[in-house]
Amino acid sequence: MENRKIKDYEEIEGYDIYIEPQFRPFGFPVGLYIALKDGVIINIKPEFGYLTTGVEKVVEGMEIDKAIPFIDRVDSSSAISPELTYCIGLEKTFKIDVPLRAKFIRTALCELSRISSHLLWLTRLANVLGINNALHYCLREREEVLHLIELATGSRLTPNFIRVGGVASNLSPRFIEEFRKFFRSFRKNFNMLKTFFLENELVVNRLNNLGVLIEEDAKNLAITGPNLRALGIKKDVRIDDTYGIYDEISFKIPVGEKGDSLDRCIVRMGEIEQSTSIISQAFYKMPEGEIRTYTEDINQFSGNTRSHIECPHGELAMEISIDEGKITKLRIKSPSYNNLLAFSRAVLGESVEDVEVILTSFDICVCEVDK
Amino acid sequence: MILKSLLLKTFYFLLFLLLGIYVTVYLHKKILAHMQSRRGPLHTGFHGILQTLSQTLKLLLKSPKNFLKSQNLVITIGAIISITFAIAAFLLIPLTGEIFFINVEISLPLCICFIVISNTGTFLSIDRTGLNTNKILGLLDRISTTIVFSVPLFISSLGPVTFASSFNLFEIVKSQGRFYNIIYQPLSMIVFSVTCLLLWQRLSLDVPSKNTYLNIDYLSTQTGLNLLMFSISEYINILSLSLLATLLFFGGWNGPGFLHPIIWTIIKTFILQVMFLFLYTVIPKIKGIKRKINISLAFLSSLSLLNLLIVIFVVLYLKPIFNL
Repeated sequence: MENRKIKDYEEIEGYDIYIEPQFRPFGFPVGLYIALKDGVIINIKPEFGYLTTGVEKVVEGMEIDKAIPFIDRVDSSSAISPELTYCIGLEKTFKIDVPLRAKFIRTALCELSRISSHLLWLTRLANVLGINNALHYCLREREEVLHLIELATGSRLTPNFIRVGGVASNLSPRFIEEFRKFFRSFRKNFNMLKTFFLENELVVNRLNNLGVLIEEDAKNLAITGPNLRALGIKKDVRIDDTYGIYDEISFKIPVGEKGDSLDRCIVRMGEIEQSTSIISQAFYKMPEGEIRTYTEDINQFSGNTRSHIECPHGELAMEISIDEGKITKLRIKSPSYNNLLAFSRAVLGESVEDVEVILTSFDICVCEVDK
Repeated sequence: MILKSLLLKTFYFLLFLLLGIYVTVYLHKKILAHMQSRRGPLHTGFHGILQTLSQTLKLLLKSPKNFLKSQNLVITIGAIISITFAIAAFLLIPLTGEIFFINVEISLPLCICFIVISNTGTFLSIDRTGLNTNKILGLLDRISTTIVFSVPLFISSLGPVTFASSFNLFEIVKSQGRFYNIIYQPLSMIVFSVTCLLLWQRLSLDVPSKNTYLNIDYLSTQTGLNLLMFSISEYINILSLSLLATLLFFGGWNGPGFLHPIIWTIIKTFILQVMFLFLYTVIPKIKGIKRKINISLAFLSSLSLLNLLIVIFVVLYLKPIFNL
């Protein structure tokens, strides 16, 4: 007991407070070294690496199809996006045609997982703000979305559903039935969730002008996704470099004004609404037909490829090298890593009590940061 | 003979207290769950009635055999302080005109003081193993809340005191024979309930501990009997604060004669508790010592002082004229 060494925050030079990675309000393992002056944060240094899985190394030497379950583990909140990035990249270089129905199914499931990811983010925000009622209502909606994903793919969090050249299985009639039932109630319930956050004066006053990200910082740190759109910059891979069937579907890109926590909240709320409209359009236009094209010479592929998509946290990009059907190199550019650095800029000048709210408002997925 | 009757009285009051806590804990779990679209405890007994008993037994069995040697003595002293003063505060509150433990001339300020002292017991719960940020932040939160919000709590309770011109709880309830204090001084009632909510600690607007984590931050290194004492004292404080609010503003045991007075007290306390729970789930917490000081000293205290001025005016000039 006496000899037990406690990691002391005073040992680190230049920092006043050390928040350990097991600090529960964050919901994920990120340590923070905080330097204070007159109760105001003047410097902050995030510490990460507690969730490292080494996907990039593990995957080396694997066959193309066998790597997909490992790539699932990159993103914990919407695992289907890294799968899609990987498959789209390979299809583009090796010129594999994807059936139209498969494209529609992919889009619908991606948007579903975007909704589930944003709902998880709302849950975290409610938890940090201390609104227990809203927390449980968000979780209830997310549970139903996850149930739908499970019905379609077989797994709630790690679907392992997208294949090179299509998808693994067709949608069952039961899925479509439950999906219709869910969507009727979801629009109504989501409006109720909006009242918890955006029409509640206490929440709006708390989030307003909190953790403002400057445009210069955002550009220097290559921020993408909802955090960039909260600044008023209309950038989205779904429209700028379109993939799948996004060019056949009409949807808006919600943007903010100032880039504070409230704007980030408004943008994500808007994205959930847009995602519901994308899904309903996709199901309306979805044709009958095949869901996968099989290629026999998949073992003779070799070459380099790049791809990027819009995942719930931002732009997820991959660089893949393949030699005779086996992966030799995989590099992942994850948006959450940049968001974490953006947080360390946006939090400057705020007080210590607001750190958890600002960190949560950036929607950081530590699986992505650490890979 | 006197000793025997005193012992019997103590026994009955402690039994009532334990039953009250048991029901409070169960209702907190169940009502909160239904407000948050959950179901709450279901499997231990009929609709989870035995859940609290099982948790208490678990904590008792988890405590080490050689209790005093293995635990840090300072923490145990803190736990004993918090539970003793919580019980003392409860015993000062009369349940009806006939059912009371002790009648002290200054029962109201004494009761509030005991509640505040029992809250300070947790300050002693810091030790070497508790040097994590989570616990320190939780403790600081709790200390600041207790210190800052006991000021408006006391000032707002002075409104009914002035109206009854007595610090005695019996006199305060007697003065509300015709109309309850909530009609005369709603401002004071609002301030008192808000500060009650904040002093609940087990949640409320400012949350050092959240029940969503299934863990109390500032007690995260405690186990066994210590943790049990700390958490029971919190629930006793919740019970006595809502009882006090009932006596001060809702007429206490006054009510139509077809029910026994004690049932009126219990019904009013229950309704207040449900109201508090509703506020707790819906409203986001306040964080940061600056915001807390702003709210408590600038806003709540000045409101209750304003109320006090109005009450003094009424007592001096209007009361003799209208024979209130």
